[in-house]
Amino acid sequence: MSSVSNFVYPKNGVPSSKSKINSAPNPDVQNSRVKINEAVVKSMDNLTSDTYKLVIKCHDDALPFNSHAGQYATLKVDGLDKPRAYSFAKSPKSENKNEYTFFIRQVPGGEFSNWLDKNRTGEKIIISAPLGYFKLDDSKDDMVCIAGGSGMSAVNAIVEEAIHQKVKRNCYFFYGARTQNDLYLVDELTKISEKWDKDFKFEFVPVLSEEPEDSDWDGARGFVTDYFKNNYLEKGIVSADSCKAFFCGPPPMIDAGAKVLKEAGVAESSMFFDKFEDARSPAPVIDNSKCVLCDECLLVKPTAGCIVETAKLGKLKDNGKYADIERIDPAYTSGLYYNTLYINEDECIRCYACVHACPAKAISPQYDLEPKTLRETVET
Amino acid sequence: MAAKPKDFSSSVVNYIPKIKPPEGHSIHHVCCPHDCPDTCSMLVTRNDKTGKAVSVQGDPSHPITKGYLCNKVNHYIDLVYNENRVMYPHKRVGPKGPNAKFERISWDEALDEITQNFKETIEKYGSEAVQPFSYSGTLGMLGYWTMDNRFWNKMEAARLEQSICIYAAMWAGLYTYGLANGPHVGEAARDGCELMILWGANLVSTGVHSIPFIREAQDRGMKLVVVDPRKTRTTMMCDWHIQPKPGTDAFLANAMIKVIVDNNLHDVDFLNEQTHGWEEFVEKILPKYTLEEAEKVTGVKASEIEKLAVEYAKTKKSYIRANYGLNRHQNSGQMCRAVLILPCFNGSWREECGGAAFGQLEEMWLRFDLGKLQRPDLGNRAEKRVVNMVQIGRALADNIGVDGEQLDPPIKSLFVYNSDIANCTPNSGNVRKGMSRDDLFVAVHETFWTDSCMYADIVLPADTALERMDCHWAYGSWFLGVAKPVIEPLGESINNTELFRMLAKKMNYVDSNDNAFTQTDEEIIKDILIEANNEDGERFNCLTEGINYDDLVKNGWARASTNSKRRDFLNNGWETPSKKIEIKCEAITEAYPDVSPFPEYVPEIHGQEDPLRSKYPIQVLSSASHYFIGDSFQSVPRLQAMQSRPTVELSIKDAKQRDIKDGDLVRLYNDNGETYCYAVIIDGLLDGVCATQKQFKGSNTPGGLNVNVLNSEMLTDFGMSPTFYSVLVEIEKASDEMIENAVKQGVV
Repeated sequence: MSSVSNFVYPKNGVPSSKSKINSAPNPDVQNSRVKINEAVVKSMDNLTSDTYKLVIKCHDDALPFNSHAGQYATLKVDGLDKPRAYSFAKSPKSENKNEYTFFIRQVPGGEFSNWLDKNRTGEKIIISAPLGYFKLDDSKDDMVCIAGGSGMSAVNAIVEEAIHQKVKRNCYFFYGARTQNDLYLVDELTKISEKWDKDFKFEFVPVLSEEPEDSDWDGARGFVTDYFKNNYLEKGIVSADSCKAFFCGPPPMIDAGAKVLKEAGVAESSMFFDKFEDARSPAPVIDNSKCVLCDECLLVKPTAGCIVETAKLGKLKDNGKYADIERIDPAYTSGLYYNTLYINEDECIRCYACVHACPAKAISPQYDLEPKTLRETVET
Repeated sequence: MAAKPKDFSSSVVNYIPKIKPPEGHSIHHVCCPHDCPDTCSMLVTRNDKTGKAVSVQGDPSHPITKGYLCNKVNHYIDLVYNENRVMYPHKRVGPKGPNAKFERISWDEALDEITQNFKETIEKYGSEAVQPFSYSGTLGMLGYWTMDNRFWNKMEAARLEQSICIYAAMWAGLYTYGLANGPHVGEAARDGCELMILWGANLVSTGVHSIPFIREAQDRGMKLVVVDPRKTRTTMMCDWHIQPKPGTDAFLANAMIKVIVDNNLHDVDFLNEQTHGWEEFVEKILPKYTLEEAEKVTGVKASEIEKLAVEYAKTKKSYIRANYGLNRHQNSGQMCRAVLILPCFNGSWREECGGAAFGQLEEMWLRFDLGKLQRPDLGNRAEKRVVNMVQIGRALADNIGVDGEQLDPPIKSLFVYNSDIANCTPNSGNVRKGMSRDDLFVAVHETFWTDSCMYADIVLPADTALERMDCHWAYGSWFLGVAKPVIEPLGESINNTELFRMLAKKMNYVDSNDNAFTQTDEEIIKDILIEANNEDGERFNCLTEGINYDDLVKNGWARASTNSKRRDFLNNGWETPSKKIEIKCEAITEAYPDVSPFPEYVPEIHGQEDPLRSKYPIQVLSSASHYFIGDSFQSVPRLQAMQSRPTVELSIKDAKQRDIKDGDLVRLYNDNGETYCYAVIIDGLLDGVCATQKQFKGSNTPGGLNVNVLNSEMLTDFGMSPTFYSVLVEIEKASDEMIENAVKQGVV
């Protein structure tokens, strides 16, 4: 358009220079509350044969993540399609400046797991955080921590936080694993009782589900939640109406644990958990007829591509996915009319941060999978 | 309504932000200063080492803000640290106009130039030749109307009627109810409202914090009706969208009342006890508002009007939230009154969640002791010499005052602050022509390099909300907030109060026996609140009862004491001459002899029934955009991107008739001028109506002038408001040649 060149947009305080406004600014929000920082791998150590302790370090001038114990981050490395979610394994108060520790378990065939095959010290890694709402509560009730697999990280961070806060409450920490070979941090966790308030109990109880019958293991056996129920709840060591439960681990373990506790009379409001959801869980969907375009969800995006502003959604494919998504070209939008938000389920990491951030309750995993766009171009 | 509102809590709660700052950072309360009813409480995180603000978020403790911000203020950091900010005083070198050039000078030089001009102007022409011009660039009590007014009062400068936004609606409210506002829209929704009517209110874009309250109420069964000729984000969430032709709402409201009375559904007890003149209104005025005629005038089906009227009459727990679009038509004073009296007929005022309101402006802003804030006693400023800001164009360009008489003396010195005068005023082409006068000195105090700066002799750098202290009283809720500076002012920017203290010093206005120009911001805010402790005071502001300064600063916000016994209108009477709600208002007719004392429908000049439509058939509604308020947010990259070009909504029929396709650049024109927009064709928009953005930056508009170039400087029936929506145009597809010509012609 010939007239565009005449638009004056003064720069740098002195409005003499002419500059065009037709270059398209980055449509992704810059002021994100979830920070996406560049980091390097500082160290990588084996905890067990398949679990690694990964410490990463952000640049010195990076804005610290304003996280609390129990939250998680996403990590992305070169060659990987999608970032993966991992809980911080330490309370922020226990970390060195700009450093973050994760316990990562190798899963056969998992993309990130393959990356762990080599020592990656010194390599670049992208971290976005903080995410999640799992945290230590303020009550005096007994803490019942139930972790499985790499769910150890978040619960370990919660326990560390409790030590920092010098809490005056009992803590029973049950860790579910398959065999002795899957156990780690046992000595460290057992020793926590020395740091715990003397008037209160701290017990660390590993529970093994697949340990051979004839092994030298003389500790607890079975499924972790059953063990807790039979030996603590039913024996009255822990009372259902004065405990708070912290779960972290695979969704089936959390579901089973929550069911047991609920049946035993623990209120839902006394159970805190962070399930590691993956692509099998439904991605949230935005109902644009409820969306108020406040940008709150865009400010908590863990990845650039999960929520996009679309001009147009292509035809639905048989699998329920959109054939193509035409992103907004900001230099040529008509603002409100084309600003339809769409969650790309291939990019969504199921953090549900947008669901929590939305003040208009326009985002939910339950909506009809077909997003409503507000306006199609009217042909005349 | 006012008797015993359910409080959110005590007016001030001991709140410590639960959000912990990252290491080396601290969190501060700031109140959003922008022209919006919500007046949010923000939490700003500052890096204490660099002194820079790094993020903003909504205060989770604030009962209206509820922890989230709007799409504009969510990007506030980009507004503060923005390359388009005026950082230092500048002096123009070369001619005035869109491509003006400036060079940096010192504050001392700038103040000398300005005060030298003031002194010379006063000596040669008198102090009334100095014209201040300001509006809602900040809505802080201090920045908006304190130290500046003291300065102009001392100088005895020309007055400015600050009527550009809400006056017709405000006067409609004052004439009808006196100083009394209904509940906040969100509180009404929360407190059991069963039927809510958003009348001309696109709250998703212009008051988003009410939406979650409304949504929740809808989930429990509240019915939401939106009355709006446009299709908006808000009409998309309603249960029932009613689309009257613009400017015909008074007919719609009166036809509803006629249905209510004809069906004997009106609350006779309430009308007798609380209102004045209702029987005369019913007998003399209502008969002509038949459903048949209503359908013809408003375009809304008779059956729909009847259904709405009956449902409204039968739902005592009902609330009407009108918005200021209604008050931008030539016939809008009466239109606003007609809508505002509806709850007298179903008696919903008796309900905690009932009544009707444009917001809480009148009470929140007019209960102050303005004498104490603005000190009119400092000078003997003439009442007579006043310019209506709506007509600043004719005052500057044609030397004509409000009464149509020649201005004597003419305006020789214009001081602009808190306002982008070149884009926000009606007939903006004429305004720019006036500002271009060689014999006019112009100083502009601004945060950004606005189009207005291009006409200035001196440009002074202004600050942002993070750099100053101020106290904010929401005009759309019952909350007030206070903020202390979070960061050092950027560059050499200076806040409004300090600017006028500096000017006062240079003008030798400072009197050692009077603290008018030496009071600190903190002292002024304390003064506002101390009124509360002085029950014997004449102007005791009942809304400040129980609020003390220290708690307010600590919490960042407080709730006005709406449960004060002093504002129990149902029992104590209303603050009107008759002590009742004035359905018949003689005071209006005394002030405006041509205007009926009853809220009658009078066809809008330059509206739907104007014969001018045969030449200019399309009425332009230039409503608030989702992406900016005035000029300031238009410099934020994210928001500029989302509204990168001016658009005009057209109906399918109107577009087809003119061979206009979606996305085409089109020309809007009438006898006042022309502007260009990109067409957006809206299925369901009324024919004969188009809609565009108010105050889009002229310099980012093809041709250089925004839609305000099409306005006349006509005033509303009463209230002296502008008639931004009483604009008729023709629209055509723009050719490249047209655009080039417009560009060549320059701005004026």
